[in-house]
Amino acid sequence: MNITRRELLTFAGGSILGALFTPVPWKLLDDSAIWTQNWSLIPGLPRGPETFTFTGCTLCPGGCAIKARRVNGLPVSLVGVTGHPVSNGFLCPMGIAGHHLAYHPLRLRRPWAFTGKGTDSLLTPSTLEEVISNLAPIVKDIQSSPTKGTVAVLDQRPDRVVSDVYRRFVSNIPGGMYALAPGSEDPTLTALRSLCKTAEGKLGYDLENTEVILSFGAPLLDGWSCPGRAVHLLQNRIHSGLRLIQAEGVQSRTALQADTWLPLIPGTEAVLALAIGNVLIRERLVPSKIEKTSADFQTYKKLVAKFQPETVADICGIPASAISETARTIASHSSVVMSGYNPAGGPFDAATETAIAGLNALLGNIGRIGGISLHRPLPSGPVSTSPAIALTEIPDHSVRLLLIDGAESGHTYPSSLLRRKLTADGGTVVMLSPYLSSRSALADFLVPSPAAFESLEEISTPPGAHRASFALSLPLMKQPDTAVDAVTFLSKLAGAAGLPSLGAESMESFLKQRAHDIWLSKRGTLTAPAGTSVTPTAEMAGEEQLWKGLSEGGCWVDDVEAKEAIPQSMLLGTLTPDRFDGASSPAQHATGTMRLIPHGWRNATTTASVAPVLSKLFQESHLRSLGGRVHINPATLAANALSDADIVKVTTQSGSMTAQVVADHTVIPGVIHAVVGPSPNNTAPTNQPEGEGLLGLCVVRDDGSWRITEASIARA
Amino acid sequence: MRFKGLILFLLGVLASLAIGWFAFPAALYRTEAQPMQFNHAIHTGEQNGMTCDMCHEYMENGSFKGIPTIAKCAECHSATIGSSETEKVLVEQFVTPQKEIPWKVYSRQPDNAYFPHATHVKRAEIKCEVCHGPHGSSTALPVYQVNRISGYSRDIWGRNISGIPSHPWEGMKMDRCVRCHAERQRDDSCLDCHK
Amino acid sequence: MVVDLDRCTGCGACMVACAVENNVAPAEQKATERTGVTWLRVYPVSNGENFPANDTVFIPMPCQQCGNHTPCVSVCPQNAVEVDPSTGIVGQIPQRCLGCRYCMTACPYHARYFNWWDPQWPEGTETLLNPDVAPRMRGVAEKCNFCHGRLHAARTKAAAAGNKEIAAGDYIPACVESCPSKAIVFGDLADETSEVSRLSHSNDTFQFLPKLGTAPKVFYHSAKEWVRKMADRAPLA
Repeated sequence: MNITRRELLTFAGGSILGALFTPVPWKLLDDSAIWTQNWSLIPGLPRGPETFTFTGCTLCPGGCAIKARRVNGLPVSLVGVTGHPVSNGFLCPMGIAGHHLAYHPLRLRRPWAFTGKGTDSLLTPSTLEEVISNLAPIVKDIQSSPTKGTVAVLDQRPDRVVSDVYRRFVSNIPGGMYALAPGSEDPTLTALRSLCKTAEGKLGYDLENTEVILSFGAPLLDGWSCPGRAVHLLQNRIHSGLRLIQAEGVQSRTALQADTWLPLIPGTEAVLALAIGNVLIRERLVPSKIEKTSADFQTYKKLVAKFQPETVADICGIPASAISETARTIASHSSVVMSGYNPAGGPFDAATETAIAGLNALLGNIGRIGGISLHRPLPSGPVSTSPAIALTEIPDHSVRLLLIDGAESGHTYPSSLLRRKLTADGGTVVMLSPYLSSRSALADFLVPSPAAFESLEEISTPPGAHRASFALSLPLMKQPDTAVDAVTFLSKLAGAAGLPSLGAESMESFLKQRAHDIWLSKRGTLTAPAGTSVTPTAEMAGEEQLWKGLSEGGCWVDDVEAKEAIPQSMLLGTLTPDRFDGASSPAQHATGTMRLIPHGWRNATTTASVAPVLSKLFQESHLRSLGGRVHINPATLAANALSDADIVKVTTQSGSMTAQVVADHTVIPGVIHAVVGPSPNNTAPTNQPEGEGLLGLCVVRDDGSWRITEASIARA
Repeated sequence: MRFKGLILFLLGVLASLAIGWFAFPAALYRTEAQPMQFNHAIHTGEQNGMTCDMCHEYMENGSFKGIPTIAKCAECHSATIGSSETEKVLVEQFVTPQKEIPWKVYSRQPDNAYFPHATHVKRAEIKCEVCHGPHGSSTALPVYQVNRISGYSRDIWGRNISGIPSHPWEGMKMDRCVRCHAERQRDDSCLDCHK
Repeated sequence: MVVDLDRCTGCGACMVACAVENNVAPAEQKATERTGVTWLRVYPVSNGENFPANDTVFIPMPCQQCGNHTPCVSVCPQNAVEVDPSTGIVGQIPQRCLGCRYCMTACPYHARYFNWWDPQWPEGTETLLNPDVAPRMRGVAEKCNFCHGRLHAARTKAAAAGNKEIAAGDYIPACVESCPSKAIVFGDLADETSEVSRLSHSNDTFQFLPKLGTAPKVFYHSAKEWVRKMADRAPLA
């Protein structure tokens, strides 16, 4: 029979009416709404038991203690540990997002080799065996013909147990050198070494007992030592009366919180330090015994006579009255004078560091309560190892094989500082790092070390501490099978190259050895996590008790000994006054061009070690700046007919780059803060690490400093 | 033929009704087998007299553990203590290799729903049976049927396709929560139950 | 909530802790400070003076939890946001939102954010999400809920222990907990004995845009007069 269209439509009409009386339309609506909530793009939430464990952060030498909230064993959030004897409950933004780093898009999951040279070099997948088989012959060759170049290890975070292992490794190779990267040690304390007679023990700042801190750019709130120490002391000022005088060429967060900000023109730190020395001497504020015991007092006196505050006020940008006031303040209270690195700017030159450190010597701060302390290093067994030298002390073109340890100091430096140490053929560079970073471009081989919170590691004494401390960073996640920690790598390489054994086979054995040495010394106390109990080492029944306490997140701190004065000999150390020649005359400092200063945030100078969620600070707000930006004072911009957000070309002796301008009131006029930081698309996994960026524009001086470079800018 | 239009129309209605009420539910839901059977009655009945909270416990922070882990079963069943085939499967395939049983959960709600057992059971003192029915005295697990579109168990809407429950414990869509909350004057804010 | 602007150092720990706690994904490649999602945002604000009289304050700005004629609540066509009468918290349910963004226009504090793109989770980080906060998809608005997931956890804990009230120490938003300077004080404004109530009545405590009459529950404190003066026309960067 024929079915007409009309009949079909009638049937359909009936079906539609019928459908309304079935659950179909309503259920389909409801279910599709739920279906849209189930898209694969929306992640499901973890389910499982919640636990809390303690660990420590290994992203920078601060080593803040962490309480980790875990669901199904995986870390879900990290917070500081209230009442902790070292970090005082602090955890910085990097640490808060630290558990994401294992999944950073730039995380290395296997060894890689760079094949080809220069801009044509390609990353090709490799294996640990292949890397070792490439390196072992080089080591063997170095042993047989050491004059062709040697092996060097660059440690960016010294004084760890693995640092000892590196030193042992190179000491077995003729000419082997163990070097410290710039930024890995406190600059004032390093300079003070040349002023003190004794070399035993470690210098530190007794900030807990001091009344005034005069800081030449030490980033107390911008990433210094263990930041929790400074934050705690400064936030407690209302009760303790502590005062902070921040002498810095930018109104940093530290300067904003300081009691006094001395807006020092960058590059004139030595001038200010010597001018303060001038006031101290002419107003007779120097303790009489210093005059008698310092061998070069008269030389120093003659030198600072040229730095009258009235004459140098214009050079350093600080009024004479402020200079005198500062000198009187630090002399009439127990005080500490310190300096510090901006994470991308690097050290002041040696003369400046000495001038600053010398103020401590002049005031008799060394060894005094509330001054510079001398404390015992971590107890450890006798080891025969290579001495630690600065990177700048490695002779140029002498390194055939360079091993770079990936534990960050939080600071960066121009790669040219490394490149010049390599032999003429470029040498071989191996980087042990969890991530592909801008420094990787220098490497021939990349060996993936475990990422943050994936392996058992050490939290050693932060720089500038007034007593030794030791804790463990306990893993929160399982490391991939391809991750290789430094000890495993060195053991394999030593074995393949026929070198003597390094003493133990795993990081854990080395750490247990260190704990054993601590227990044997009977020194110090162990604080259980969250400060719940404090047990003296001497009262522990056995070393297992110490190891168990550390494995639960406890922290060992040394006893603070009675202070004894450290005999000092010099105020200028090995420097001669002519190093400061011309510094006091205005002409030396008038440049007419702008000063380019690289500026970065601790542990955030490269995209690699910045967890993607840190985009909240760098990309999704104005709180911090992305790499490739130049921050300039609005008055300077106006004088150069530029404005905010302009694209400019920045030119220095080393080259030029385009960058985007940010008008920034906190930067001093005449200065360009070139941001060395993460790149904008920092969640994009990429095979090409970003270049050095603005850091590459800096001119490196003979003494290894690169902080200030003359630059010009023009609209691009 | 007279009334042909009307007959076709009614046929359409009937066809729709039939499809909507019978074919649609059959097609909408997919039956999935539980990894193994579980007899609540043996555990809670006179033989062993266990109560719900002996296996369905709370965690330290107060949240509900839900279906017990294999460790809980192993507390009694580390080796076979009965004679059933099911228990043999339990011991051999799950307890011994310490493998979690991949149960299909009838009461699974979306991630944005927040339901704290502690508040309802301990504070409001609502008995388990009010929401879960006589599940505790069942001898076998109900058939698990999953909605092909939404991915959730049929029990959330209710076994009946009309959404009208045939037992008071059936169905757990939002309107059921809201009704009970309204009765007890606890219907303050969306965020009370959503996260 | 009372935020002490003199103690805030602008470190940004609160912003990151907020993102981690509330499962806010990292920025999409193209995102900027206009299109990013930061439930809590710290604004660096200058006093506009020239060097060396320049000064900067850092202003952490979460949802201000407006109590009076809450702007976003009054404009939402979906009833996706409403004020909880018992806690005063303005609760946003992203799953109900249809993405018209009227609320973002209405909010005078720019404290509401829109998911212009699907949240991108670097592979593997989705296993590290906080189970107490539901993730969102693109096309919905979201904002600070005063870490409601933590309030839930505190209530669950209290109920399990048989207590009627939550212990104050159990409900601490992520920003408050993570601030190294303890610049944010949180508590029950209605409880006159609480520290937050006491601080909110202090002389140097103010609210932003008070002339709008939104009665925000987030107060700010500063001894600096230029900061307090800014409150009625805050030039947010």
